[in-house]
Amino acid sequence: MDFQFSDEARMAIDGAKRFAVEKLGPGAAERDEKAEVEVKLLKELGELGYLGMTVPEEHGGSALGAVAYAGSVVEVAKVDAGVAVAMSVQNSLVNDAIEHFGTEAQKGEFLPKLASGGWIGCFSLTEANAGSDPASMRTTAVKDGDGYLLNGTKNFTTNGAIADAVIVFTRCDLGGKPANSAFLLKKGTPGFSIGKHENKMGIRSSSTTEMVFTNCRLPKEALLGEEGKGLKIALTTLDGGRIGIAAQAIGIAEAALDESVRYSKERVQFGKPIAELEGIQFMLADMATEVEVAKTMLFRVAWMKESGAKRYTKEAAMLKLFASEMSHRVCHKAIQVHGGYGFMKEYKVERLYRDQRITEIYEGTSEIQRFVIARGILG
Amino acid sequence: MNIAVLLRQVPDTEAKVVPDPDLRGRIMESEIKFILNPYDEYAVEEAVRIIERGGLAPGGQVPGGAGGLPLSGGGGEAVGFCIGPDRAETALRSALALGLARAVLVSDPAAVEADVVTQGRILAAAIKGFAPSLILAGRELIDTQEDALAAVVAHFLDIPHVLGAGKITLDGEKAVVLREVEGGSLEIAASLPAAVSCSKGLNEPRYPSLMAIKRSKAKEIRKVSLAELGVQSGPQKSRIAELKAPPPRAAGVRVEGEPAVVAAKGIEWMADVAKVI
Ligand SMILES: Cc1cc2nc3c(=O)[nH]c(=O)nc-3n(C[C@H](O)[C@H](O)[C@H](O)COP(=O)(O)OP(=O)(O)OC[C@H]3O[C@@H](n4cnc5c(N)ncnc54)[C@H](O)[C@@H]3O)c2cc1C
Repeated sequence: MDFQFSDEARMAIDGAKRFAVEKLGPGAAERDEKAEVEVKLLKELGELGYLGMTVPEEHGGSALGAVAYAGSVVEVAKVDAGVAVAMSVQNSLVNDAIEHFGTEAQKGEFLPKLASGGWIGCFSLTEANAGSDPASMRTTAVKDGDGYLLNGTKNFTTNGAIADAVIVFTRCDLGGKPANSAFLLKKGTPGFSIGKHENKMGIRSSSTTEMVFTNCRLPKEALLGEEGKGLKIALTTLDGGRIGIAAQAIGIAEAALDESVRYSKERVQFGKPIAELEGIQFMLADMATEVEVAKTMLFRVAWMKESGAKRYTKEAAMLKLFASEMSHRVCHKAIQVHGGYGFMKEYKVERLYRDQRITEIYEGTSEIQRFVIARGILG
Repeated sequence: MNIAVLLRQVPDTEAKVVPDPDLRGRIMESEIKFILNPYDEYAVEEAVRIIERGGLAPGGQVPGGAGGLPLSGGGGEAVGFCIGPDRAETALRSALALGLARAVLVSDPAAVEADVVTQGRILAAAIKGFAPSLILAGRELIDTQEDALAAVVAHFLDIPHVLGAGKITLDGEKAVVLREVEGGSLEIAASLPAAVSCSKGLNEPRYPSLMAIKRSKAKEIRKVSLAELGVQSGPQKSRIAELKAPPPRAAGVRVEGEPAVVAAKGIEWMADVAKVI
């Protein structure tokens, strides 16, 4: 058993940290306040290779692997969790889906642009009436001559407003039986437009929008993977996505811990720093322990993916469940350590607390993770 | 035309440095993360930019010759030179990811433990065979603040050394170095080959791309011994005798009241108690 990062993984993670602190740090609070999505920063991350970390080199990626990727998302999330989710979606939902299910033509056209930050991608599964139960989606793809005609509205799509490449999941008719198919299309395709932009509680530096399809005609080459296998593609891809979201949750928690350690040494009450009070020390000790446990789990599941485990569904669900709920507990305590100041926008923990909340919801709510885990252990 | 870059590894700026209770003059290394000396990054970046611009025009170079390593590659390379323990390899890897072609590491304990003058002599011997036209180094080490190494190397190679470059302009014959000084700036022209210590502000070191990080893995880090260099470390001329953590800050004195009263009391205290005025 070897708990060392490879040289490259360590350097990649260090580089992500430096980029996050120097480039993302200065504007993070303002982007949150104004709900500003800065595509330029995301593209800069892409130019350095951070948006194509698991894409093979022949498709323009750096193929550094899931461990380096997970560690890099942690570093970005410590500073700006909105940028971290954009990075996670692009790497593990968009690139991975194309890499595993795309045709050679699709890989050749999309991956080099996505892996270098030239293009931003999104993964559009959820609908207003199909969240935890994606099989009930209503967006349709109907055969139309040689291609397909798409109609319907997707919602809550991360990177929606800034996406150049869109993966969308639809209902389809497979020889009389209802099924689901996935499609890969480009921005500007006639019949496709961006709907409502959501005004969110947290991760406000990320874009979340509706995606509207009105008689949107796609050629048969736009089909991603086999016809009728859409849901399988979505669920398999989400296993990897959960590593990214767990990393995001852990980054937020680690930042909350760092802020709390610093603040507790500076804040004086009853004539001494509150860090000398056992009540505060116990909170900090619990926070640090929880972060450590989640991090260890993160790198283990990332390693499983990297070393080619066929399925790691149960482990990814456990990781995402634990990391997101852990992040909730840690951010909660971080506000407690800060007292009234933690409730104020001047202090970073206020933003971390809001940013953390979504990690328990997207890419499968905690309840859905428990359901997946239970199925995994009960068989 | 080759460029040699002197590299060193230091504790991370965020590391908590604690004197080692068992080894005088040393720090506890086990918990510390080590990085490439941040000033050295300016030197690496400058060297890489010069090479990317097409290298130096032909001109003066350190004459190769006996005793040196036969290092000179195809010419027009920026190569790192370092004295340090094996763990310094990670710092060299970082420099390779920033664009150096390869690196040379002298890791004999006798060299690692040596004083700066001896280290300069050893590095001069290592660099000689590489026949560089320019030697770049960071202005100082961020840990010990030692800033003599580049000058000592220049001394043993009998070439000029310029400290604290904020800007370097090169032609085939000379390096013109701009150095900010109190109240103005100096422009210093040095004939090539020359050694230049680089300051903050010389350039903005790039972020290594992940592709560059991957490529760096294939680059060579050549370990050489003092025996291969044909030099001996000799007796230690100076050493760190003791390393002390700063004394904990003493409790302050708090003066309260109207501003005029506070100021008067403060002055009284500074004059009579602290005796600083
Ligand atoms: C900011 C943001 C970004 C998002 N980004 C994307 C994206 O990029 N792409 C995308 O496709 N989607 C995205 N989503 C959607 C997200 O994945 C869904 O919101 C999530 O899956 C939950 O669906 P829902 O909101 O419809 O909640 P519902 O499914 O309606 O859930 C409501 C409650 O019921 C519980 N529940 C539901 N079913 C069960 C069950 N079987 N057993 C027990 N409890 C259950 C849930 O856990 C939850 O507590 C995003 C959402 C947000 C808020």
